[in-house]
Amino acid sequence: MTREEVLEQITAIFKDVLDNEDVVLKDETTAGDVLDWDSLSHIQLVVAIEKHFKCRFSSKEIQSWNNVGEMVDCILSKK
Amino acid sequence: MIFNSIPFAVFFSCFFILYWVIFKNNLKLQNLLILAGSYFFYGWWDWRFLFLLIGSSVVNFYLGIYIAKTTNEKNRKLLLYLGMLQGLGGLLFFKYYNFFVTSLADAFAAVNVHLNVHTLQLILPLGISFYTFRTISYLLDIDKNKIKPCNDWVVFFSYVCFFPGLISGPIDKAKLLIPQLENKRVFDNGQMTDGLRQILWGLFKKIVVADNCADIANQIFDNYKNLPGSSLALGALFYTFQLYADFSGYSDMALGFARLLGFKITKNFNFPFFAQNIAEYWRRWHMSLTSWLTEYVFTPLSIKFRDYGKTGLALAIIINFTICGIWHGANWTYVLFGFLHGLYFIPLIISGTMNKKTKKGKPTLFPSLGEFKNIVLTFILVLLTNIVFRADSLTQVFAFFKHIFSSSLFSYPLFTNRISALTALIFSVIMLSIEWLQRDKEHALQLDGIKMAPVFRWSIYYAIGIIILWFGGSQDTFIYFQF
Amino acid sequence: MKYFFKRFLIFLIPVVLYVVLVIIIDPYNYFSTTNKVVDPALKKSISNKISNPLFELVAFEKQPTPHVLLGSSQTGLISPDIIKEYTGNQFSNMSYGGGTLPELITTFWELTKRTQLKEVYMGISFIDFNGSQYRNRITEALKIKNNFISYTFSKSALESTFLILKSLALNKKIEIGKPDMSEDEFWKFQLDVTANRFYKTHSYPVNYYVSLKQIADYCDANNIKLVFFIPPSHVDLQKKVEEFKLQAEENRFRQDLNKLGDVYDFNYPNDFTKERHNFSDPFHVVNAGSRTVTAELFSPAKKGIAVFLKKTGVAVSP
Repeated sequence: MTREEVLEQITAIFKDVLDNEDVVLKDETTAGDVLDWDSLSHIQLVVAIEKHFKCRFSSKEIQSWNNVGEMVDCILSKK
Repeated sequence: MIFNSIPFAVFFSCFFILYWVIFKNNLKLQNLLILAGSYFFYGWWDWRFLFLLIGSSVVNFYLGIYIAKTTNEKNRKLLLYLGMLQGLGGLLFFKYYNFFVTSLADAFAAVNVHLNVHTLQLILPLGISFYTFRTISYLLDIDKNKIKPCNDWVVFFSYVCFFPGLISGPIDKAKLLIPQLENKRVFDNGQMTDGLRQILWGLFKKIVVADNCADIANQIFDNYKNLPGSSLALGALFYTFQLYADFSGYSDMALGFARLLGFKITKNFNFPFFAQNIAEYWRRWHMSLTSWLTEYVFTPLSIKFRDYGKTGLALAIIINFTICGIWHGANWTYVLFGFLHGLYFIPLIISGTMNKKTKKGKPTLFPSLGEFKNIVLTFILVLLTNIVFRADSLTQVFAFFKHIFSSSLFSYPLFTNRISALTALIFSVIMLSIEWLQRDKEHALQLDGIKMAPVFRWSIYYAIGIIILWFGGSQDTFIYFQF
Repeated sequence: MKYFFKRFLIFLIPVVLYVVLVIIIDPYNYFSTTNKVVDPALKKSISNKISNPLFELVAFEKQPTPHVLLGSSQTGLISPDIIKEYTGNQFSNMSYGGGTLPELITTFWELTKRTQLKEVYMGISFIDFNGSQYRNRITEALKIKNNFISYTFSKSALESTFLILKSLALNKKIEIGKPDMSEDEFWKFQLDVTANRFYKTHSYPVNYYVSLKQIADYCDANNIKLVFFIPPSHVDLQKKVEEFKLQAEENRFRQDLNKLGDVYDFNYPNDFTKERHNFSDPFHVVNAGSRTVTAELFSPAKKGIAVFLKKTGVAVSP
């Protein structure tokens, strides 16, 4: 799977979980840039991503992400 | 010295001139001045606890450097735990030791085992809950590679004790304040004027609203047994206004003084009484504490519980808010206060509307009927828990509620002084109305976007000044100093 | 930066002007007792109404006397000049309109800091002997008096300065706190509203009694003559005690005072308290009446309108 594919798929997940069709994700996007992406929805996003990519993140990994790019790197490292 | 006192006015004026005129071009000296000034400010209250403050700064300064250097995961964790032990240990000892041993003894007594416990005569070191939370977040962030350790001791020590936020917050994160201490501050006329305006608004809230409401709330809470339910309900209302005006007034002043020194510290309040649900309320009330707890308590918990869906989420929230309650002090009332706020979230979790923020549009003059209903409902929920927050004991909480929810709730409220109650109410309404109109601004007296003649603008400042002199109450402290 | 400092200094000009104005007018004679820019009588007529405690405390600090009177408005009617005629001693009357027990207690200790007292007369009525009356304006006044800045920027100084200027500008006397009623209406109001408010909230002042005992002990130890008196009130008001069924409490009050010192009790039905002409309202005697009361307390020739109770000094257990 390429970076672009992962980014595309998580964008779809974000749209679904946040119930917002306007979500656009780039590597440098952070929580502050996306409406309703906060500490509460964050965990729902993580669960949805884990389910979709059939992988499991450690607590430390989840908390170390500073932006979407780092999240994508982490997903790719699991494949 | 509290912000609204003559000693502080003298202190700050001298500080300001030294800082901007004498040490203008020397960052190192400016930082040393901040450090010395902060210790002087703290020592004015009680110099004995200065040693604790300095000791805690020394320990965390070196731990920060060593944690970053240590590559061995095990040793790194060990150093981190050492830091937690120092921070939380100090906090637990000073704040909760007596509560813990007496509660333990009570628990054993319930099963007929009588322990002989020793309680200690401890005085709570001022500001300990606030500066300890700074040092804890500093070490945790270094451990997670979110920030680099600070190598300049003057900068780090100043971060721990920066006087505008030392006694009662905001709890600034290292990544926000340390870079500002490391870089040269610029003197900006607009920032200065706006800082002064924010201080003036803080003074108004504290001296006019909070101190006048305090008189009424104290009378009612002190005599609640002899008063009808209607008086008690109004007492809770006055206390809610007092609590907000007191703490947010303090925060406005803290932010204002920091801005006068060229700093932008964490915003602590964003007009919480206009929140439309309890989640939004907490995103607007004591924001630096909420975001601290979210990052270091709620997030790790919610990650741990993520396989249990909504139940896991609810559990994480309840634990998070119970800790939030306990942070205020060693009393079962605070535990209950936090727990209730946790429970308030459950309907939001079930309906899934928790993270639906109100869409930002252009603020209207009046709220829609639906918005108004939500605002009032949220306010009532908050008001009810503030009774718990204010009470001295759980016994008092239950007695107070029993008195409120009796037939006397519908009787005419009794006051010892009706005129002062009316004055306090009018000023509370004035405060809320102005904040409503200015709710999309950083603070209520931010007039930058508003076109008006300078004469008119200055008249507003003088008018507020005269109102403060004329109607000002006189309390010698702030509520959050005790936490 | 210069721009900011300049603007800020300009902004402060009105504040500085205000400070200068307060120093010139000096409504409470805080800066000097000889400042006659404004007629002292006018100042007194306004400031003494705006903050009676502040005015008296400043005056006492400037000219302390070892002989003092303490109490509420009923005691305030006694004129130091008349006492001087009888005794030759200069008294200060440190009573306040609407004074309470905590105010009397705080004032006593404040005075001990200013001078070595010799003689203290305390006028306390049963109405004052009330645990629910906790208002204390003295701590506030002392805080204001504490330094020049808090004085200048106090509400009292601001309000008095404003009213003095207003009076000068309009060139007329300003009446403060004068009831907007006829004499008869006011009489009825004092009986039905004011008295009821006090008696309805009556509770035994445990803590204040302990404080009074401390004062009595201090006076004993320091050779200060302490005399209590219960000021006269009209019989109409005396009857109110029965209406509220507080006779037992009133007796206890008399005995309590008597344990602490000598007591002159003016407040019982007699020819003086039955005569309405002696009173301006049920609580307060007229000038001629106050002369009679003063004579009874200070002159050797007594008319016998007060019952004198020698100190019993029994150890108290409130």
